[in-house]
Amino acid sequence: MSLLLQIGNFFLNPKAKAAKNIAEAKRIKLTSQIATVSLVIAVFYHFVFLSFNDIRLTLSELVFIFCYFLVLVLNFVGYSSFSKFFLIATFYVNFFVISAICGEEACVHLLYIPALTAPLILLDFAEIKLIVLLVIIAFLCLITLYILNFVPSLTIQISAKQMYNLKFSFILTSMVGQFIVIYSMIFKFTKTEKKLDMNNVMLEEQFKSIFDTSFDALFIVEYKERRIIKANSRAVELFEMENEYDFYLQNGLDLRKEPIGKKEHLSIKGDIAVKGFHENEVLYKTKKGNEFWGALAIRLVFMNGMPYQSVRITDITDQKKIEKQIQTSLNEKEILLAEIHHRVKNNLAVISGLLGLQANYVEDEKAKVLFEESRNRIHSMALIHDKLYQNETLATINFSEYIHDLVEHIKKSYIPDTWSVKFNITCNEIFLDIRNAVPCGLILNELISNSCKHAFKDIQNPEIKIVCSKMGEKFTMMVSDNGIGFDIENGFKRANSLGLTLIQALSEQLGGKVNTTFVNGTQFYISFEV
Amino acid sequence: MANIIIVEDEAIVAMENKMNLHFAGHQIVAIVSSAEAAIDAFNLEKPDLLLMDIKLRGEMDGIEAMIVIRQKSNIPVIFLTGNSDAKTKQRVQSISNASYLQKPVLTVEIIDEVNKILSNN
Repeated sequence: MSLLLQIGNFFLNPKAKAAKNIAEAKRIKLTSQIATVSLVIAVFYHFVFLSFNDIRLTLSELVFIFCYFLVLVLNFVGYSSFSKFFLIATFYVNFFVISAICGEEACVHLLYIPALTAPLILLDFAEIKLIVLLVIIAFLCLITLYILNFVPSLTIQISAKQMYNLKFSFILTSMVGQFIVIYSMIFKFTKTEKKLDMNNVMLEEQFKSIFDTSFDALFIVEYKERRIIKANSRAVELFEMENEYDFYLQNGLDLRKEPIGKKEHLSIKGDIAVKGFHENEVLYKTKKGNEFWGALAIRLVFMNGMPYQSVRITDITDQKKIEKQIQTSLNEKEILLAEIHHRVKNNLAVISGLLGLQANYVEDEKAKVLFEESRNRIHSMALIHDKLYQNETLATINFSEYIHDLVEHIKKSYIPDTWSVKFNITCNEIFLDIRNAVPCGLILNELISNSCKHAFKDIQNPEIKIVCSKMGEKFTMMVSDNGIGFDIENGFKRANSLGLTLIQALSEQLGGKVNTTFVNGTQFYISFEV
Repeated sequence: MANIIIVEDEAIVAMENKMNLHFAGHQIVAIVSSAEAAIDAFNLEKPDLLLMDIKLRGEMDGIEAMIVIRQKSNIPVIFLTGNSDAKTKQRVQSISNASYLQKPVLTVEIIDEVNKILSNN
């Protein structure tokens, strides 16, 4: 028998060992073993039936031999669920056919006794409906046999001695079958249970060791009531509790220093519903009244079909301290940078003041004008530092605002109250860094100053247009007037004016392309990559 | 002609303003560089107008000095400063009889503002 069971194991699919649980692996193994034993018994009876010279018995048994073999093959190729069902079905049909042919006296129907219990050991109890169905089918087969009175017209005609031997062998087979079933149920399943228990203990120990040795505080919390039902050692340590029982049935939200807000409450609900988890940084208080920052992670888990929250809290107090230090350092640097911009602007004011003082000692009116022009150039730079100081980033300025302020200043310098020049400024919110803003501002100062000084002699309704745009990384600025027209490009060649020399040099510094046109005045275009 | 105190911690800027106002016909009765000195100079000189920088040497700034001076007098003041942020502007607006000019400022702007305020007062 042991040899037969070993042969049965040979037909076991290698994947059966990796079945979803031990009990299922055992059932697959049993299917293979029972099919092997049944195959051998069927071969034995095949030869017995050959001696009766009954073609029906011989052929039918041959078919059932094939069926038992097919069960082994199915089990081997991995169709274990179907092979179990097919084995039980083969039993029922086999016993029915042989009973019908051999008659009641042969006692083949006694084989239904072990066959009735076969579903109990081969199928999972979770498949109780299928088990009940198979048992009912077995009973129906038996009842049918009795109703038909074992079909006397089909019954073989053999000698009394042969019938006696047949009866004896079937009773023996029935007893062997029953023995196998009882053996499997009592001994094998007891072993399986023990293995399952050991496995559960092992899994519990593994879970406990991972749960308790975690560097983070871990909790299992009721989904609706939010009551803590399990906490690990790190949680006890982090929250300065006596032991894990201090947490039990406490509302997880009570561990927070501040009560949870409605907004965060909704955020947690929404995150869990959509993503299945929620993450946040929360300030907690310990039992002793101390505080710490924790990175909270909540995940929805199911245990025995019930929803729970698996909660992890990582102590990030040190991280928060470092973040605060970095923020403080950053704030200090921002203050320092703002102070530098302010200082630069003040220094420019001092330089402007020095030039103003010096100008007062100059008699020549032309020289005074040159001093005033220099002061305006300084002002155009000082204005950029003022804008940088005002801007939150301390790195860029709103060039549109800058143009408006610069125009106001130039108007005061060059345009007397008795004279009116219309300024038309079109510039969206464009931000330039100091590297581009200073040369661009100086160019703008020179162009507007030039127009104010030279362009509007005998011109009715003088107007200066300033248009700035930024497309992608390309910044374009156009300054035009409706004045008498001035050939800036030829002016560049002659370079006998500081203003034009500055425009040329600063345009090159920006890597910009310069174009001028003379249609109803002068139009100056510059574009460069920012 | 008016008697003016210049409160400015940048000596060059103070000198330039003094010269320009002098040419415009005004008398500069004192130049000081701190808020405390400004309060003392105000008590001593009883000027007609204050030309006050906001950021000064010492713990107090120009606006704080004016809050102290306002307890005694409603003397007109022109704040001159490089600080053009919204908070500073808001603080300036809280001071009565005060106007604001942003540095660097044109000579003509200061003289115009001084004349405007004096004629109003």
